[in-house]
Amino acid sequence: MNRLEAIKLITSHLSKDDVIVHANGAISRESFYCNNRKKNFYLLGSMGLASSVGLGIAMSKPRQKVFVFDGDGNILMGFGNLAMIGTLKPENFFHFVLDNEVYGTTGNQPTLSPEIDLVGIARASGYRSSHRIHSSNEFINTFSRINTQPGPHFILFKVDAQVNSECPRLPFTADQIKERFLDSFSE
Amino acid sequence: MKALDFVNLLRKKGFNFITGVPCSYFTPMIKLLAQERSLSHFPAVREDIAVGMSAGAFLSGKLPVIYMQNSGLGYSLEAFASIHMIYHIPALVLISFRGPQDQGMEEHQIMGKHTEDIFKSFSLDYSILDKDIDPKAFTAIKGTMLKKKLPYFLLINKESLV
Repeated sequence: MNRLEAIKLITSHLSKDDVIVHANGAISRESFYCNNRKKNFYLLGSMGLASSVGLGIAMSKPRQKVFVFDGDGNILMGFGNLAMIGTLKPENFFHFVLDNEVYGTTGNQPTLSPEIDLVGIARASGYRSSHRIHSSNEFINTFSRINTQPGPHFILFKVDAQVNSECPRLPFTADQIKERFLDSFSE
Repeated sequence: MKALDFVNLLRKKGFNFITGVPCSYFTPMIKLLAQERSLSHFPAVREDIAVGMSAGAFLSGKLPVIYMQNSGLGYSLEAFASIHMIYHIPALVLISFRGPQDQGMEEHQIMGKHTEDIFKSFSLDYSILDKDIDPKAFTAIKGTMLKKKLPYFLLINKESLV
């Protein structure tokens, strides 16, 4: 499965009230391209910090479900995030890692992901559940089980390295992304 | 000033989320944060994570404070540049001013010498807290931070929060 298909699949199972914080680069662009929602927050830069921003939201709004769409490169950059999420244990936190084993935005340089048990690291860090999935069926089975269970959950979704070139840069400024996101809570 | 008075000032001014990485200059303040209910405290393992968390807190309606050493400012400057400065997210950032008053600690000297240059070159507002802060001056700082929608940095001198 490619990442765009994985993002479509995941978002089709979310409610319109769920927050999604996106890592920068292709993850933001592909998610914007296939499912542009007001409660999507896109990081334009700050690689490695989507889960930090998501954690700040999850701790401030305990009743708000927070999804983070991260990449394997992002996770490898900041294991400290896993330690904090695993120990603060926000029940409303769902951490998706779209693992393509490359730095896709910069020309498919390999990451260390194939050598490292990221699912095991998340579990050892204290996530309440941690999963590796490869297919649509595995996603549906896993997500239907954990969706109503307290998190934090870590879901590593193995995807192809293929980059979807039809997804352009976001047509929003950072300020517009923020204002739209903030407005979505007063609707 | 007393760390207790400073924490009370933060609380009275509406700050309700605090995260950061410890410095010995902040020991008395951090001790007090454990008992502060209206100022949620989330110790961070790395400064850029604290910066990211503060952005999430602001996006959720909180008024955040971050604390770190100036060494951590070096580490997390890019996070401020690519989150707070472009999305326009306010935060009060307490930076311990290591170096000038740390003779014999070689590791703090270079960052200490250039800390103010960093603020100036990034056009970031800052002031130095030396022993005390006038509540009126603090109100003005908060006003600047909210009006500009940018972080405001308070450089904290040694033994200024006791």
